[in-house]
Amino acid sequence: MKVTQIKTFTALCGALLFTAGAFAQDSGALIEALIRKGILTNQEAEDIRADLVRENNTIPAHAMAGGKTTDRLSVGMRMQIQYASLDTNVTGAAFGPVATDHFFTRRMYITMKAGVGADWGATMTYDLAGGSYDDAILEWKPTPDLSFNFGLRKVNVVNEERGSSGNLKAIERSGVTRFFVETNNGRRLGAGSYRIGAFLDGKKEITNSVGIVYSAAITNPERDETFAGASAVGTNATNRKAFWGNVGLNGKFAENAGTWIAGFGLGVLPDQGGASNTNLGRGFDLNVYSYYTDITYGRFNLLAEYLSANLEKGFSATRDSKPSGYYIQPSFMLTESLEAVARYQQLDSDGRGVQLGDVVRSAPAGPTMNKFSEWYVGGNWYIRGQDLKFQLGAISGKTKDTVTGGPAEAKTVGLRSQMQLQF
Amino acid sequence: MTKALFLFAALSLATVASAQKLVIKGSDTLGAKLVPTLAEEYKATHPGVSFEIAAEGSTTGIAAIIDGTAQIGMSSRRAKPTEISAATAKGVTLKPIIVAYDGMAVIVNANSPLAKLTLRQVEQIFTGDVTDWSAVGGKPGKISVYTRNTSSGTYSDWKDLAMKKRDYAKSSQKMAGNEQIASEVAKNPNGIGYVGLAYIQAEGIKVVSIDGVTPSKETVLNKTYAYARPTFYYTNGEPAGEAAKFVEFALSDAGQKVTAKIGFVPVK
Repeated sequence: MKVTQIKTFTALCGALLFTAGAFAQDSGALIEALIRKGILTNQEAEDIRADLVRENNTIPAHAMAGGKTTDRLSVGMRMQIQYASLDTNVTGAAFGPVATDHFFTRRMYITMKAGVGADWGATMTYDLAGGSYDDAILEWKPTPDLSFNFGLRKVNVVNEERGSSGNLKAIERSGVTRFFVETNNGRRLGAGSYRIGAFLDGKKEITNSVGIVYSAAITNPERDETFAGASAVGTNATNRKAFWGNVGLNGKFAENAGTWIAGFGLGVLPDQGGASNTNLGRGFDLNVYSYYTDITYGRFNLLAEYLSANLEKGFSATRDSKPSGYYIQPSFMLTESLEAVARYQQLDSDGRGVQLGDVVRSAPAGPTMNKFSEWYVGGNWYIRGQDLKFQLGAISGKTKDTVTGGPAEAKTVGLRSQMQLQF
Repeated sequence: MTKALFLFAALSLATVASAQKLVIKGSDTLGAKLVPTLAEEYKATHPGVSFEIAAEGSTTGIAAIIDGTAQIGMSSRRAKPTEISAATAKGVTLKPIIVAYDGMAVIVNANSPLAKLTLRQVEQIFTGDVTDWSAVGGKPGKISVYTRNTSSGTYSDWKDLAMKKRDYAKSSQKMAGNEQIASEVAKNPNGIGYVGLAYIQAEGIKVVSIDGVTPSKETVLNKTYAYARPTFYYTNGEPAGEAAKFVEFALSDAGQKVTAKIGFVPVK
């Protein structure tokens, strides 16, 4: 560029950048004029365009962050409002449990993320609806394919549990998943989901269309994501570490028609077995196994998982328990914004026992039985993708047989709907 | 416990030490022909380098740079402000590099009597305001509009340049790539679509002029063709390592010859 052009260029760039907020939306014509006059090359113009947008969108991190090295901050939110109408009838009982017919705040997540350099950052998500954390982690990501987390988050065992609650196609996770991972209440196992410890997640491509994903973690054995529980020092029942591992293959179908993943997860929880939840820390172990797949082909998706566990002395002081169950969930995009979903699931608690309220969220509890099955049929309307959507589904679930094998049955039938907005 | 910690640490270190290859993701316009050809030429002089090229739309290319899953993101459109913000939030600086110019050509079936359209007619056809060829000087018949899918930069550029940012006709059919649009239009006497200059030689289609201007190297460079645009590689900051060498090659005389041969308009 000539000297006069350089001066003009410098002055204009300065003016553009100092008034970025005002100019960002309408500087296109000015930049085009500078190109036409030969003051800017097309490449220089592109760099300036990108800088202007960046300047206009920069979060004033320095104004909010306590640390001097904070270079990025972001805030997110997920709001889920749910309605459930569920009625439980117990065969042979004069009166069933009180029905559920209620609107409620299902999740009220607020997320804050910060970075201190390219490789290090932290994420904290509060669930104000539940009064608990969804995650609270420090992250080190030395390469794009490998990350280490330290803190509280979900372990990468039980595929459905690890996936985002914002993407659930059947509004709630399956009862089978809930039975295996939710807090040990004497029937549910508490063998997954939130833990505090060290986590590793990685992936590696094997060929152009196939890769491997893997995870490992060492954590406290108990699940307690409440604010008080997460900061507690533990007890004799929770003094041994739990180990978690997951490995899977993923890939793409030809011509980008879809993706697939299939894998296996294992959780080893020493001292977390025994009948009920009163025998923790007494030398009875608990192992959980997960086999899962998630296939998307065109408009079709299939999510399925088989879960099983070895629960030492889980039935009684003389007998182990081996609960197992599976869910299978096909879905199909009818249009770009409407999706049909179905799910079937079955669980055998092998004497551990299960109540409808343990596995069908917000359902009246009902008596303790041995087996559970459920159908869900519903639809999703993606008004703005996952960011704004409405879901509606019908549920028909039942528990049957007493834990000692006698005949019994309880049924929950009803509707669930949910509105979600997230940013 | 000690053994488990050791295993955990060993697994971590082994993964950190693993080698990388040049991963390029994004635009189908660039990734279906041009970049694979450039990659082959590059490999001839850099035999140790391997490529992974995934052409699934510009949106996926920019996302891959933000997520750190590619070294180069191909894009036939500029990064959106939301993408630039998302990148900044993750500590990524989206750096645009113009690699070629392109003209989005309007194509119809080779047997169609139609040879020209106006800017206004194009807008009316693609938004669904006009649904029969007789309204724009063609033989009567229901117009079949073929567009790219929503992850495509061309899809979004076309809305900006040809449709005054209006929505596509509800009846429009979304195709995965330029070649698929050309193929469908070649099969359908009532079809119309848009493709990059590199795809106008496909059999069974012809290019119509827009306000009397046909897309060519000259009309794209002097911007008299209305649907001309730059195409980009995006990197995280200034390209480095093998990515920088590949970008340098793509912009070299040899690389730009390949660019012209494929059908794009070179940057120099």
